Amino acid sequence: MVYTDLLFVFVFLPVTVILSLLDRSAEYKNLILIISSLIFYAWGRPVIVLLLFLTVFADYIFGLGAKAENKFIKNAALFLDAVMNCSVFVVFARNGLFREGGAFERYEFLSFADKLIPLGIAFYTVRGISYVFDVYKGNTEAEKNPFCLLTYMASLHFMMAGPIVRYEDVRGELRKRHIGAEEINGGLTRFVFGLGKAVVLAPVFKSLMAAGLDFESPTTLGAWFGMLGFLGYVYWSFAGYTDMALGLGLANGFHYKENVLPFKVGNGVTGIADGFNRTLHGFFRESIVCEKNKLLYVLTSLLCGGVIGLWYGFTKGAVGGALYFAVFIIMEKLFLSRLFEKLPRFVTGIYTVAISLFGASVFYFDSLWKLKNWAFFCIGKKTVSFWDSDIIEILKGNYVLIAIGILAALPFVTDFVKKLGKKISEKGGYGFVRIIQTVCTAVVLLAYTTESYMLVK
Amino acid sequence: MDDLNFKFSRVGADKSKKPELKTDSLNLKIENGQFTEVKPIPVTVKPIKVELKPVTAPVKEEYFENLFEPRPSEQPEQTEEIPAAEEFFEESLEEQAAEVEEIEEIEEIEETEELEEADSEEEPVDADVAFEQTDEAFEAEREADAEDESEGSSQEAVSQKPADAVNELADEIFEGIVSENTQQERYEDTEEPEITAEQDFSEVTPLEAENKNADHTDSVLEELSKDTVKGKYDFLNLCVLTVMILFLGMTFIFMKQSSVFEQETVEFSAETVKTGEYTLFLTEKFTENMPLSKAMAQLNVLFNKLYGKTELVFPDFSSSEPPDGPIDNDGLGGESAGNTPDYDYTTTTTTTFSGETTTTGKIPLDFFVTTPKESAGNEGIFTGRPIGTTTGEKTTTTLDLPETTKSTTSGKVSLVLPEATTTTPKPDSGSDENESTLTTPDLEIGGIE
Repeated sequence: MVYTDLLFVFVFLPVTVILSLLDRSAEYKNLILIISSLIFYAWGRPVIVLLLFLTVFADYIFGLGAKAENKFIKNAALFLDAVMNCSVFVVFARNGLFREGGAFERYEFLSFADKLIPLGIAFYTVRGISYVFDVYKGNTEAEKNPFCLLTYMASLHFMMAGPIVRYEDVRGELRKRHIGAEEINGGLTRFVFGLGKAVVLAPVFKSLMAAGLDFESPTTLGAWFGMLGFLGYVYWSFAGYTDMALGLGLANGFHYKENVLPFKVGNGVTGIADGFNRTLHGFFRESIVCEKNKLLYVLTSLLCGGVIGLWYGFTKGAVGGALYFAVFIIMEKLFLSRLFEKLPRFVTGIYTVAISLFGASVFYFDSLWKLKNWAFFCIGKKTVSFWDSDIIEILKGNYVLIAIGILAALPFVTDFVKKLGKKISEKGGYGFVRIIQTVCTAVVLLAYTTESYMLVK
Repeated sequence: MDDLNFKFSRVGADKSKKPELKTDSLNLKIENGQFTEVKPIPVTVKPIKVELKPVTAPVKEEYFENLFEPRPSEQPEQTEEIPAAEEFFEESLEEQAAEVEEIEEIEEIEETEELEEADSEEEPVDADVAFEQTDEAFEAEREADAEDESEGSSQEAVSQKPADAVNELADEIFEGIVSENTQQERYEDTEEPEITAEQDFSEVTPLEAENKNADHTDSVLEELSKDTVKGKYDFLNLCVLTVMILFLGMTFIFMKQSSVFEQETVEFSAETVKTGEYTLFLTEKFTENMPLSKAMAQLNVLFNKLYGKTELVFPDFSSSEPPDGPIDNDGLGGESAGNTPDYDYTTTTTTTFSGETTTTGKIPLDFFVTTPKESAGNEGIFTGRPIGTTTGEKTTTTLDLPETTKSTTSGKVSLVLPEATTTTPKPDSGSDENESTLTTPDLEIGGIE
């Protein structure tokens, strides 16, 4: 079961929300959350429950160890927890390495069927490491109540695509939180909009990507739009799942931090990296990067980029793309940002878009040969034609959604819409704005249902 | 009555302190226990410190406790004018007429001195006249006045009027006074709350204070109304979403199948739920995905025995015949899963007219398997992965010719090594032979028809 399943949206979610409201105590709500999360994971993958309990127990022990006064025990706890979570990550999240053709093919006994691979194990392991790391650094207290830790680790809210919620952010809410009409309304609305992003918007860009980056009949327009489609697909998928996570959390009384923000083109590549999957990038940056001096900053930033790349995928493209972005972030930090302050803003925007587009291509293509050819396609070389019918059809049929997807990813557009709504509200049109919002929510929900229904059929 | 707009404020928690009474634009001054008229002081003028000369006993606290409320039992509701007080002041003025001229000169000097003092004060000063009394202060002043009186000073003369007379005076002044500006609470022995800028009426006239208070009230009401409106639309939004989710959910559940389940699904309907078929299907799916399913089946039977449920039969894993019908509720009963390394193996080979073959088989699933590239044609009983690595390619070619032969192959196959492969080669034209080999050392396939 995933968030976008009809069963989850129309059966599982309403039942769990209603059950959560039956009692005010946080313990009861935590219990409901744990049970519903275990059912969510065990749906078709029952072995995951065992893995969950084992890792939570281990994190609990290591967390207590990380709080010890003895330095050796403290360091050992952090090290062992990192080793355990990394092992779980490699074995389960990157199980392809152990299959035929993978890098660790000789350890084939570690390969599992796809059905047994737990959902969101990548985010789960980072969450476990972040908890012990925060205890080690003193950012939070070691949790002595195992059920609170189990609620935090097992929560289905942020299992699919983050955010990486730090334990200190939810420690208070695990013990006391309020769920009222405002929280449920806000949470459901956000969840529905997240559904729309993940199920309605993202597939449009995916189809654009598939049609444009077809190496059998490459076209210039296809090369550009294909890469734009890849960027849009990745962005809206993440944004959609993050919105769903935040909506689910809000409906349960939790307030999580934003994970995906509109692209701040004027802030360079640093703004792009800060706005996308920011909780994960922030955690790795905090734990790896050291800014004592420039050399150390450069080396640790490159290491951080490599680790982030490995997290995204054990492929050359993922690691190369992450290192590519890391290099530009380092340059901006050291000298480029001062240069941009003197240049007009649109120059920074053009630089950001070009670097990001090329960086996305590094992520997408697994080989240098494909990357090189794509670059040629973009400038019109080695192409069959300038455009082809597939791209044109997709653009014609989905131009509204594509336009919405591009505009909604830009911060000045979202800011403008918010300001417009605020102005109308101040002039007595608050009801009008709210009704428009409700209508949009209903339309998105209908669109999601129609889309999913068609897929089911 | 406009002259008598008293403004009262609460004092601190210290009980030893007497509550202080601040007045606003008071045209009177109490000296020697008598009220004397003074020149109207504009709002911008610094406050005049009026000293209440000591009496033999302090003024009753009760007068300060109920300052904001008239005494309903004694006085009727006052509207604009308070005749009793005005009459009193007229009488006071008449009595004090002879001394007014002398006092005025002295007061002018005092005013200038006090204004200068007020300027140097750190705390903001206002136009109110403050009455501060403490027991010690009274006694000190009394002693000082007694000394002055002995020296013949009229300014520091201590009032000889008894406390009762002063109290009566205070009664008559404060009776029926209604403050339109304030909504202060009764004096309580609690901490004084912080007064915000909007609530601070210390530097304004009563009219301005009234307007300011009204603005503050308006802003509070506006915020409250915004919250109410927001709550209303939140509720509307929630209702719309709830109705939509319920309606669409009902449609999904009762009209069509879910997208969760893959092939060979059992339709979710009232009938299938009633007969238990849907539950059985879910159980089968659940157990199929469990690792070490045979071991789990054995454990299931053992645990049931522990709880006294002995009617469960341990599956006969040595049986060579595949089970008929659906799987029982006692776990994996009926399935030909062996507790020995030998598993039942069944394949069905269909040969069409031209010789193309379609091979479907059922091989039990083990946990530690490699993921095959294409598992079509060799699916296990649990619709999972077959034992070993399968690299078979589906050789079925769809033709318009009807199927001519159908053969079933059954036999035993042992737990295979990971490098086991299954190949289904394409048959030659005209060939009637179908070959399906499992390249494992212990494989025994018999009865190929």
